[in-house]
Amino acid sequence: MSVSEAKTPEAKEKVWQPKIVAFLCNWCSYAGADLAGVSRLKYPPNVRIIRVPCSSRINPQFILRALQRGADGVLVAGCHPGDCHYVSGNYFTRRRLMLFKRLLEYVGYEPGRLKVRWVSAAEGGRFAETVKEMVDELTYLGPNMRMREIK
Amino acid sequence: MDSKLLKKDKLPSFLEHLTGNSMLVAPVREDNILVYRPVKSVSEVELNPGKSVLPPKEWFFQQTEALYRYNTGGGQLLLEELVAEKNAVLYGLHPCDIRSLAVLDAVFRADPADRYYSARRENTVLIGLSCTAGWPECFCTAFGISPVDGEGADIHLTDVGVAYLVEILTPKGKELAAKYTDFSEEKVAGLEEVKKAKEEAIAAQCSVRVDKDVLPGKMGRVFDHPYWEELSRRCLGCGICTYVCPTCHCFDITDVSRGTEGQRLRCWDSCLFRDYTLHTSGHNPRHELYQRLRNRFFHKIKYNYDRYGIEGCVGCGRCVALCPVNIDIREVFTTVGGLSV
Amino acid sequence: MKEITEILQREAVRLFKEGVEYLIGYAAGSIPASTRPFFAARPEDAADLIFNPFCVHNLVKYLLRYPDKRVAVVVKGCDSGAVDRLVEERHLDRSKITLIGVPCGGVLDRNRVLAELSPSARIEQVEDRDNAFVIRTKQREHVFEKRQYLMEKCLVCTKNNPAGVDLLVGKEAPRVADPERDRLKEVKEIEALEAAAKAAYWDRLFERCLRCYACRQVCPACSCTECSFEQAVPGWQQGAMWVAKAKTLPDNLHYHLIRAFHVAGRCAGCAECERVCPVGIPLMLLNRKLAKDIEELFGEAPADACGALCIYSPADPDEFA
Repeated sequence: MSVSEAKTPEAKEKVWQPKIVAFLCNWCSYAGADLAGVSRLKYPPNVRIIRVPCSSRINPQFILRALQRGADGVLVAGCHPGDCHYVSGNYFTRRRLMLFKRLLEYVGYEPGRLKVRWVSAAEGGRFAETVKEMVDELTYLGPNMRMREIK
Repeated sequence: MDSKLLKKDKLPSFLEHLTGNSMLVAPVREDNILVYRPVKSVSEVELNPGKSVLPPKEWFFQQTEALYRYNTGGGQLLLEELVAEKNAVLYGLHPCDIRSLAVLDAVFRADPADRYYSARRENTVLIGLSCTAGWPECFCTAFGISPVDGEGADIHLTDVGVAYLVEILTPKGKELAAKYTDFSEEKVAGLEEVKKAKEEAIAAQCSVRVDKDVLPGKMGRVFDHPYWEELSRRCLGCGICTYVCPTCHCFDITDVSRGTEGQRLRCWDSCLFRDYTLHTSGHNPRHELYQRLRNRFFHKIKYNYDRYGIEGCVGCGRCVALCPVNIDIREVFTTVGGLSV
Repeated sequence: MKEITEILQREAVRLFKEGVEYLIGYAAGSIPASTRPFFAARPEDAADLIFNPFCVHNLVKYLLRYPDKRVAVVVKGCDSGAVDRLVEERHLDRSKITLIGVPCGGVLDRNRVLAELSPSARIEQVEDRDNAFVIRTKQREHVFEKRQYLMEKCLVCTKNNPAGVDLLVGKEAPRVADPERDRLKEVKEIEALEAAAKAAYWDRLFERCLRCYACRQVCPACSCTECSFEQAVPGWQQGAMWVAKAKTLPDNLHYHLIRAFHVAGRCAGCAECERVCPVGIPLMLLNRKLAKDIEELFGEAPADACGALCIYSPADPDEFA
């Protein structure tokens, strides 16, 4: 058997499904996602959640790294402006990611590859909705090959 | 040695003939940048190239080269070596770049030879091209290199006005050129004189002289001279000079793995970078920028002589032309020669 | 030009008497149509100082190497903004720095000038005639219309006379910017492309990047003592690095997006990154895009802030609701 024949199971995946990496703030959006689960709301299983202390913890490099390593889209969610557990974290996120999203689009990413949403701990439905929306959009866009590391 | 004459308009067809089924690597212009790249057809080639930004060393010693692939899944280790096998023809090497391959050969082909580099060298036919003019940064003559001499190439072309003088220098070159029928039958007298005149005209522009018997020894005595610190004040610590240098050959080896599979890569490195000599302990023997800059010049003009008996600089002048803060290696040679110790 | 050089040399001698330890300025370069950064350490060195339209370098970055010394530095209008930022970020102590401002009639694009003269032209004298530079070589005089031969950044420059400097050398320079020129023209053209065309445009450029890091090294806004792309980890942990040593398009793109983003709101627009790039990647197209969006989204940042991304306003536009 040669190296190229010995592919990992992941590479043999038959039907492509969009893969979303979601960075959720611990205080609002993670609890919101939790609520969606507890309330038994149905949403697509295409999302891999990473809990972060605050949406302002998201280094834009996290987003690039996710896209490089196989994500088809990245979701960032945090508390609504004014509700940040750390008072002002999400205000910085807002500035930073509005700018970064434009930069990504400028170099050729489709707008749907990065989504930022405010999701409070009470908004389980909104979280489920957001994921659904994103899966639909990414399914339409197809796999993200831009900046993808070739194995 | 066999000499022929080739009409200028026949050059593309000659190149096509030489390429045959091999891959043609030649200077091409991308925007305003001249680089050596594999080309699909001769029409893309810059037939009379100036000085490329990147030296042709990239063809033999790639900036990022996969040495082998591995897979550790399934409880066993699988390895697959990735040695270049395809034959290639490399067109448009100026004499300084031809000479630089001799410098790299001393490093990579001496025992134990590097398989990856050697394979590419052996599979590549070199077509040299004499310089038609000297650039203001050129100083190949300082190292005894003639801007019209193709030694080291398989076939060497010199523009002699009416046509190209084709010198067939190796058996490999002879074999390739043997079947080419379109050489000019004209007998032109005085070609050697034309060549000589060209050489002299270009050499007249290069005022730098390097005395191979004196300078390396002198370098050894000025290691601790404050000159290096002064010189480094304007150095940015970027890697331009090392990356555009046809003889710089430092590399770093890393693995890139995802899950159970991966590749072992060899990547260019630069002694100007801080992490080049950084130890695991955090200690860095070349912590200061002046130490790193000094190392580059010592490598060029001393360490290379000491270790391989060949100069580490071929006077192509790329680092002079591209240094953003005008650190000029010619000036370093001259200044070091004049330092009192 | 001769006049500015003379005043510069005179002032330098005076500054050394006043206790300045280093004076960072320009001296003649060794290749045609070039100058080089020059570190004068003694009054005698002052005689080597020059100023002419080939003084392209932004010397402000060098100040970071001498945080404790009394240093004087020659700045053009486009360079001086970088000092304010570094002072605001407390990298530099303004009281230790003497800013020598030079009114600047624009700097010339060396390559374009040499293409006109000859690659090995010996320039003997340069004269600024407001709309053109007159360059005298051994053979004859050449007139270089500024609109045609200045560096791109000069054609949209509004800062010919540096502000906030300690002394100004020479007469005030008139505006040389071309009022017809839209500094965002290229940015808008790229913005108007389809995603796939944008990707193709940038991939072709970033493919070329050598990752020599000259753009980072020269940038006065890149002021971190340890760059996030320079973290030292052993080879088997290379996966933990933001970009690997291996040169790949994904990593090249990652590096360039983050380099531009890290200086977003802090970039002074000196365009040094673009000038030093050995493979000609138009990096200012990223920097200008970010500056444009910042202005459109958040307006101008107050002068006492360390860039638009270090502050916020609850009234900022919100498109994530």
